[in-house]
Amino acid sequence: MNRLRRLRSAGFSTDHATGDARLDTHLWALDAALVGAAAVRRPTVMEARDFLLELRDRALRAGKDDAAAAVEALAALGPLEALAREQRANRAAVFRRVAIPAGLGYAGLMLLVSLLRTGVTGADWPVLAGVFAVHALLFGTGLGYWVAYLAKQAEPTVADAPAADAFSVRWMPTSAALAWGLAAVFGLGAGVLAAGLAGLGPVATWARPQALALLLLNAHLALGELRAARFRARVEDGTLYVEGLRGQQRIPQAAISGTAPVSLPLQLLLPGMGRSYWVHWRDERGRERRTRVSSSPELVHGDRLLAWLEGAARANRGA
Amino acid sequence: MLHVLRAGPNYGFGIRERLDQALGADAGLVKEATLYPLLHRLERNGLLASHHEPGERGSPRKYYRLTPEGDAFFERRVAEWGRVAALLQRTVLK
Repeated sequence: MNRLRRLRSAGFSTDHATGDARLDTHLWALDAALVGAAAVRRPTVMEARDFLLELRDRALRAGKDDAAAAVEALAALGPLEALAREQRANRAAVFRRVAIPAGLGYAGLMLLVSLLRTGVTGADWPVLAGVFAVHALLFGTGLGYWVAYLAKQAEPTVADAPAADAFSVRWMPTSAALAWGLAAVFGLGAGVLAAGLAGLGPVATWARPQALALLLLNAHLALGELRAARFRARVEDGTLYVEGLRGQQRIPQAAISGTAPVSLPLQLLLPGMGRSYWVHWRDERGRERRTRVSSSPELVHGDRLLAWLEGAARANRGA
Repeated sequence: MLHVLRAGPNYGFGIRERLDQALGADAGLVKEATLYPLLHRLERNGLLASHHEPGERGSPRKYYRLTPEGDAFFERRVAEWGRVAALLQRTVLK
């Protein structure tokens, strides 16, 4: 089990190196105690690395020699195992948070599709219960494992933030390509099912309730992926610009009154990909408006957008 | 730490510096608590949230900020400690 979570890479990444053997040995040991793929371990190692370098530089400026500065920095960072234990606990919490609702949601959906085909009275319940458990376990574990131990978090670069108060929010290229690809697959599925309902193609013989349910599901997923692929945002001159399926929306910072996560049931009903948040704001006429924005680790500056929105709402409440 | 973050989002080393300034001679206390495990635990418990910004050293810098739950937790604990301090003043320390 530990081997599955640790996913050792061949060697310590060279861009983690500090040029100081004492610090590098410590960082290497930290990396070895963390779980997940290299991309998952990297933020923790880089956070510790930058802390060590900044403390070492401060000690050097205070007149200490290299060795004393490194010792002071390492002592301030604290025990490695405490840091690694927290990373492992954080990853395990992410796994549980994703695996349980995703597994139950997917298995429930598949159960519903089966019941549409057989009807409640004609269902073989022991078999359906077994299938439900396998679906929940496989899909939940798979998605949870991917998000907690494999998925890379988007890293913002200077190009995405040309000024201190300006930044753009975009998907990582692989995530954008995946969203477009999935939109095409689900769109094609919806087309085939619609043709089947019209008596054409390979699914023309399917039971109508089942075909209709799957058509709605495919259309919903296709729209969600399309919406995700089209989502972009940027903050510039105290204004948020959000691009979506219905064009661009302009939200001045001074008009933002609050943010709230979209509830899980509504998140499943509304088309989209990943977590999303409501931005509550007032337009020029003073009308209450709300806009949904995506917030996923695969969005470059997605977390910063949320921080900016919270800061704007807090400042406006205090004003 | 929560008090430092009430002033605004900050990153690990920045928090450490603010704590050093605030604690003065008692700054060494933070080393025993270990900064990052505590930040990560507070984040996992929903009292802090974090976001990344491009850092000066090339790697993105992780900024921590107080959530509304963190703010309420801080106020509650300060009120509790205040009551204990007042009790000590009236009894043991008088």
